[in-house]
This record gives sequence, structure tokens and C-alpha cells, in this order.
Amino acid sequence: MIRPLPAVEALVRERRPAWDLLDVVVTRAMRHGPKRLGGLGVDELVRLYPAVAADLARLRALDADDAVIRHVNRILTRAHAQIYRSPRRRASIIQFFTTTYPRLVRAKWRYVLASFLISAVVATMAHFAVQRHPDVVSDVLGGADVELQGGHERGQFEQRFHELPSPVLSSLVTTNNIRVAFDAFALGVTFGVGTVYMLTVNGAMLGGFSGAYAESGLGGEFWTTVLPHGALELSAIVIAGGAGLMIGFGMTCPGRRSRLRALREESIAAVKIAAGLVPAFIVAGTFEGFLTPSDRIAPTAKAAIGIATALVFWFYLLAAGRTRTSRS
Amino acid sequence: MVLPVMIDDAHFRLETPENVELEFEPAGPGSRFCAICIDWALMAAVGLVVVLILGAADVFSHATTSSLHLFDEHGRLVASWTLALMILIFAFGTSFYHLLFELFMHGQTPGKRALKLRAISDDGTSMTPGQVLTRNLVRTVDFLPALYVVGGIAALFSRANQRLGDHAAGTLVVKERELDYRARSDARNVTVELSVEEIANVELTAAERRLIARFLSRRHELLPEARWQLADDIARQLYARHGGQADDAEQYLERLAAGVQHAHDSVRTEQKPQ
Repeated sequence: MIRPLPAVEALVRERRPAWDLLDVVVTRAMRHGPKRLGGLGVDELVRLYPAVAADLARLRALDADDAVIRHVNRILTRAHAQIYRSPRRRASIIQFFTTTYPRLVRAKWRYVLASFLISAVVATMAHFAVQRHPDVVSDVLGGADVELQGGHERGQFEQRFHELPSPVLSSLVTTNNIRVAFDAFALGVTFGVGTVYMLTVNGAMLGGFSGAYAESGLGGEFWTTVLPHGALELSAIVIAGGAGLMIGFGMTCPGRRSRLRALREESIAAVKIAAGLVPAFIVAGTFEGFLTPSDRIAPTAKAAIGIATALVFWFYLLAAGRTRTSRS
Repeated sequence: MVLPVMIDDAHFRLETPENVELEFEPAGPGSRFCAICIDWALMAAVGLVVVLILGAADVFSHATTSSLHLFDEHGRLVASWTLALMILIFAFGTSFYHLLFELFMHGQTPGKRALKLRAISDDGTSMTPGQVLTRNLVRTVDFLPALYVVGGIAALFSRANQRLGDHAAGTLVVKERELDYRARSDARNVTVELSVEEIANVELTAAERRLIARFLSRRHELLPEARWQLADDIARQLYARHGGQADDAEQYLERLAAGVQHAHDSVRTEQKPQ
């Protein structure tokens, strides 16, 4: 076996307590957070880190045993992570929602518009396809038409929303829609193909159902049942789809960046767009569970509430966070 | 931002503001999959407990309310809320599991911790909340069509075994092995009594010495085939430069190493009298 050089051995013997101490301090900082270290602990960390970094450089210069270098390297990598952080402002959640978020969505309006157009065009096509040729229902809706069968009877559609208890329905639909939205975002990494697919399927479902119900003369019931929660929910899915398209477009046309770099840069903004939708989904899910199936409110009033909520949401996205100077 | 430079197929090197280079070793797909298996087992266990508790609460509420003739109204309400809670927990439990653990355990989940892995930002710092969110939202895509096939393929084409979520977030999973150099010498068993005269005075370069040391210290971790192959490759190169004799490749490397030690020992004995 290769024994360490005498100089290395001396260095190890002399400096090992410092390494162990730094290890202890860093472990504490990681476990309880740097704030809990206290002034003394932080002093230790700041004093020890450069010294141990110098030790590592010396060990490398002395060509020390690989294992020693790795040991010190390991302690230092963890200390490095504690001392240096990626530059970030400690942005508050309130600030995020009052200014950062609406500004971000406005800056990326092209993708949101594209996402909306895909959804709207597919939904319209599905609507008329099903209305004119009722036999394509199963093609458009896939497995969902099983649910549809028998649903053509008046009242059956609404019945579906009455059968399940509110909390159950609310959580079922909310989870499903959050899934759809976040998957539409995440599938942006497939160069946007997956996002377009998700938006297409979602649009086809909506248009297909509306076409099928309109064909049976139940169009009114359909929309008063869907709109109370759906107006906000569909808005949120469209925006999440826009975030996915943004990643997909960045990867397809990265410009001077490498595709991986484009993926990363677009993702940083896109994930914020997707994350900011969570409150909208919670509101929509609550409406879906409690407002949509309610007997006490007239169907048209429910639909009006839904549309109003969505309008407020879009108004917020368009107007919030504008400063007077930036208005031009 | 300083991006790490890859120095060989298994290591990243990052230069800190102190001009000291730190090394990161990206974790392989195998150990990462083991980590996720542990996480799954844990999630399954927690899920089972949740089902049992909520089920018990349900039964309990039925038992108490039926005697009070409140069964229909109250019992159904409790049942529907517990069911709603269960749906939420199962739909988002896995997402929140990774999200919360990686946020509060500095890039580790219990599975990663068990295997001494950690997800970090690719500039060597700890992840920002946005990075944690990104890599875990894209997780569903990496999982497709089943068991992380997409993520695994992406990792094959990535220099640091990054799945799509890692690329999007700018993160990587690194090994954080506790490697004490004293413990290591116990694990190493040098069995061959060496007759070293013929190669005792070979002058090895520093890089060669490191190469041999690294191989000898880690050969127990290798599969037999890989170990023989690697020993053969290294020995061939060294033999071309230094010559010498040995029965097989590993013995040759051991002798070279011992020869260096012999040289150091003789240096030391020369120094002692002074």
C-alpha cells in the first residue's frame, strides 16, 4: 500500500481537528438551519472554511492520498453549499402574487394566447363534429363516452353532480385538474409535443361533451353545470399550458443557446407561472364541490358567479402589479 | 454563475471563489433507483397507516352516531370528508413527499439519505425552492411510461446522469459518501507477500501513483469482470513504461504500489538518523 508522504502525514495530523470542527459546524447548520448556529457558530464557519479550503489546495499540491483529498473535499462541498447561495431576494408570497406573478404572465402573453387558441379551436371543432355526426362521439371522447351513455336524458347530467358528496367531488375534480395543468406544464420538456397533446385532449373533452349535450337539447344544462367552476379552471389550465409551450418553444428554437440551456432558462420562469395557479385551482375546486351541485342557487346565477370569478381572475392578471411609470 | 467542469466520466470540478477546486461525483442511475425504491416503500407504509386511521375514524363515527340516531346525516358527512381527505392525500402525497423532504432536508429524501445521495444545484450550492419545485413537477414526465424510463434514458445521454427534471431545474444528484481515509485502510487487505526488488526503484509519476492507489482502494467495489478488465488495462499501460514482473495484473499493481512504499520507507530510514 502507498503510505502518505511525511509532509502529508504531518499536515493531516496538524489540521485534522480543524476539519472535524468544520464538519460538526456544517452538520449543525444543515440540520437546524444557518440561523440557529448563533454568532459564534457563524464565526467558526467563516473562519474555518477558507482555512480548510487552503488545506485542500495544499493536499492537492502535495499529491496526498486520494481518500484524504476526498474526505476534505466532502466537508468543503457541504460547507460551500451553506455559505454560498444562488443570489436570490427573499421575495414574499404576497409580493409574488401582487406584482411578480401578473407581470410574468403578461410578459409571456403570446404563449398563453397560443395555448388558448389550441384549446378553443379543438373544442370548437369537437363541438361541431359531435353535433353534426353523433356517431363520432366515441372517437372524440374516447373512453369518456361510456359515462355519456344514458346521460342524454334530461336531468341525468346534473344528477351526476348530486350523487357524490360535495367534499369527495370537490377533491376528485380538483386533483384531476391540477394534474392536467401541471402535466401540461411538465410535458413542455417533450419539445412542447406533450403539452399540445394535453391541451388537445382537454379541449376535445369539453367540445365533445358540449356538442353531445347540445345535440340532445341539453346545451343549457351543460353550460350551467360546467361554468360555475369550469370558467376559472379552464383559464388556469390554459395558462399552465402556456407555461408548457414556453418551455417547448425554447427547446425547439433555442436561438444562440444550447437546447439544454434553453430548457433550463425557460423552466425558471415557467415553473413560477405554473406554481401561481394553485390558489385558482383551490377556488375552482371549492366551487365545483359546493356551488355547482347546490340546489338553493339558480343555475344561471351559478354560471354567472363562475364567469364573474374568471373575469376577476383575468382582470387581476392584466391589471395587477402595473406601476404608473410603466404604463405606456 | 460558475458551471462545474467535467474532469472525467465520473467527476465534476467546481472552482470556488477561494480558487480551490471542489469535486462532485454524480450519482449513478442504479443508486438513484434504489433511493426511490426506499422512498416508495416509505410512502406505501405511510399510506397504509393513513388508510387505517381514517378507516378507524370512519367506523368509530358510525358506531357512536348510530346510537344517537344521527347516522344518516352526521355519519355520511364524516365519511365523505374522510374520503375527500384520502383522495387528496393519495393524489398529492407522492408529489408533496419529494417536494417537502427536498425542501427541508437540503435536497435529500429518506431514500437519498439512506444511500448518501443529495440533490444540489449545478453551481454547487443548495437548491432554491424554485429548483426543488421544477425538478419534482417534471418528475411525472420522467416517470413515463413507467418506472422512470424517460428519466433513465435522459440520464444515459447526460454527462451528470441528469433526468429531464434535473435539466429543467439545473440540478444534479451527487454522491456524498462518508469516506474516512483511516477506515479505508482496514477494508483493504494486501495478502500477497511481495518480493519487490525488481521493481522497487521504479519512478512512478504522481498521476500513476494516484491511479494505482485509486484502483487498489476501490477494487472491492467492482464486479469481478470489470475489476479484471480495469486492472489489465492499467497494468498494460504501466508495464509498457516501467517493465517488471508479476503473475497477474493486480499483483503487478500491488508490487508497483509496494515498491513506492518501499522507496518512501527507505527515504524515511535515511532521514531518521539526522
